[in-house]
Amino acid sequence: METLTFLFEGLSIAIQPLNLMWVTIGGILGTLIGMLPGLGPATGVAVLLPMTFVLGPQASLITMAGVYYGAMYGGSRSSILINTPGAGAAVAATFDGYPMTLKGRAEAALAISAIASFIGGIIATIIMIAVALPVARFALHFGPAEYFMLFVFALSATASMSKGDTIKGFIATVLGLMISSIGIDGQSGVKRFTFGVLELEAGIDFLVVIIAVYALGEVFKSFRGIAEGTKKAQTKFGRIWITREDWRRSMWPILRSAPFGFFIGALPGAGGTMAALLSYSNERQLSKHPEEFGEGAIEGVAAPESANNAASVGAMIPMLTLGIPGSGTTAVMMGALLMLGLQPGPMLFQQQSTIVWTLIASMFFGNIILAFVNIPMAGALVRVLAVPPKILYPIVMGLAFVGTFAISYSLVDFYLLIIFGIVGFFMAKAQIPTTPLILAVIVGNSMEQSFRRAYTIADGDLGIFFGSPLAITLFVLTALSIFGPMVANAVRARRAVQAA
Amino acid sequence: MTITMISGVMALGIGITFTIMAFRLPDASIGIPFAPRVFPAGLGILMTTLAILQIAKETIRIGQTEGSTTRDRDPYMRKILLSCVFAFVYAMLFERIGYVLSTIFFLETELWLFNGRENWKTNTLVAVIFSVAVYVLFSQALGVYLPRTPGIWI
Repeated sequence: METLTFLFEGLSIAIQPLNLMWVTIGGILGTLIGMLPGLGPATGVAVLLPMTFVLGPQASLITMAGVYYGAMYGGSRSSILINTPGAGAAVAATFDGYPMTLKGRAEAALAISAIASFIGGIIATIIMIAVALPVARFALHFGPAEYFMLFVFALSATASMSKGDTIKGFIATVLGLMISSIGIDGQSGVKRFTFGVLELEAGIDFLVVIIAVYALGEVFKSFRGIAEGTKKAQTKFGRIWITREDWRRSMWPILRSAPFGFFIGALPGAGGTMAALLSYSNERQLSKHPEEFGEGAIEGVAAPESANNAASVGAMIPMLTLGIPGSGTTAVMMGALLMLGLQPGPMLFQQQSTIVWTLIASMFFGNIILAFVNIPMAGALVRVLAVPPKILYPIVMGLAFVGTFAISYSLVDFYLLIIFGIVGFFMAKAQIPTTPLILAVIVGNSMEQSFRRAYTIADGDLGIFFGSPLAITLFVLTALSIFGPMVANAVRARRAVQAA
Repeated sequence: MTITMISGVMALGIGITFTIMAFRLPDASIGIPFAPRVFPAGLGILMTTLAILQIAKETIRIGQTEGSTTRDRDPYMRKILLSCVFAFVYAMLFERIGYVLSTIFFLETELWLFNGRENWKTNTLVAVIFSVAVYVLFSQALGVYLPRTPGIWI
């Protein structure tokens, strides 16, 4: 009942014309950015974020959520039309979406991807409404020691589940935590790692690191892609819609994949990409015609699209209720919340309930608007794929700089932007995942604060981190998240040897 | 040396430097004196350990697959380096000559790298339109201060 009251309050604010306008603008911009290969939701939110600050917390968050979902919708447009996922989570849409285009069924593929994304998003939002308050209430039981262990678990799960090998994932995490420890220590006033630079005393702004890694780093990486040339996309379409038979085949996969995607999205480290890939392989196993998968089966587009949109909503749960982002994009959004003076976590639901519920309510409208934007207007939107990236990437760079300046009005941040852009590029080259770095930079401060609080309460006794059943459970989960994949790999390798 | 090895060595350098610096941090005047040191020192030690693991793993890998130690040079490295140089120049010019002029310069150079010298007409058009449009959007519509060119209204 209480939830419904909050929800109606949120709905009444989110439906105000101005807020609907922001979610629409955000959604369209996000769709356009999401379509561009290499630029995903995280980059979209990072580049556009400084512009939304002037709007005030509520409008800013709504716009960013629009950008986020828009990018999720848009990412699959380029998967379907040019076989290049616009964002990681859209990779599964290339498996059957592109074969559909080759067979002259691009219209059906575009339509089902938007329909599946819409249904997935709506179902996930409903689940979110049901679970948000209970999770936030449960989180109130966490003391500083439990919170610290929760951070350890979330970070190690992200590190070990990210692409590439586990050690590299952890190196990225520790580097991120190191960056966050630069500046004056909030509890004691001791200056740490400032090298005498006055501007570093306030710490390195995580938004600068985010924009550097997601915008500059991506642009640096794109030099190679540009030389390889761009593919031409189909821009003339018939009616973008599906047949009754298409719907009959896709309905259950869409409905099944939504809750599944939500759950995967809510887990730390596992994001939209994993949700989409897992739901694709699930559907192939469940299908009566598994041989059609990869050849243009419509449910092969529907299931992952539903799952990845649901995952993007699910990823908001740990971010909003616990203050722990589960993906790169939610990390960026959490950065934005912190910048706006809102501390995500259980207290957010108590102190800023209107903002939270408006954001949740705007997810409904956002999904409806995006479905409209993406089905009738798909033909017009995909024209952006014809704009040469050679011109777009420099523009993204230009936006990254002006955005950085708008955050702090400090030129030192320009130099930091360039330095971290190079760091991001180098990490990508060395196949070190960047998501764990971003997550660590953002939660680093809260993580150390909870460590210090627990440490002070226990008067320097580290035993407090194993002092409660909850803390021990989290410790066990951490160990499982690190060693589980290793053991699984070893078992698989052994089986392969035995089979050979 | 492979890129993984280089990253391992760099991580080792960062880990050791960070650990030493963490232990040399001053005491806190309130509470537990060494409290500000514990977390960073832990990070430094963790990074050092991870770097050693990474180097060891890579050494074993190289030993197993001999002859794969040649490093492929990125043919785009020159462009990326130039990109960074122009960005540094941009940062230096930004407040001195104002947002619009410095951004035209920056975009012109970046477009030169991406789009090629022969398309200078398009490049200039994009650079000028972007710079002026962003200036108007930020300083007029969004109320964000952007440095002006001395002596000119923009």
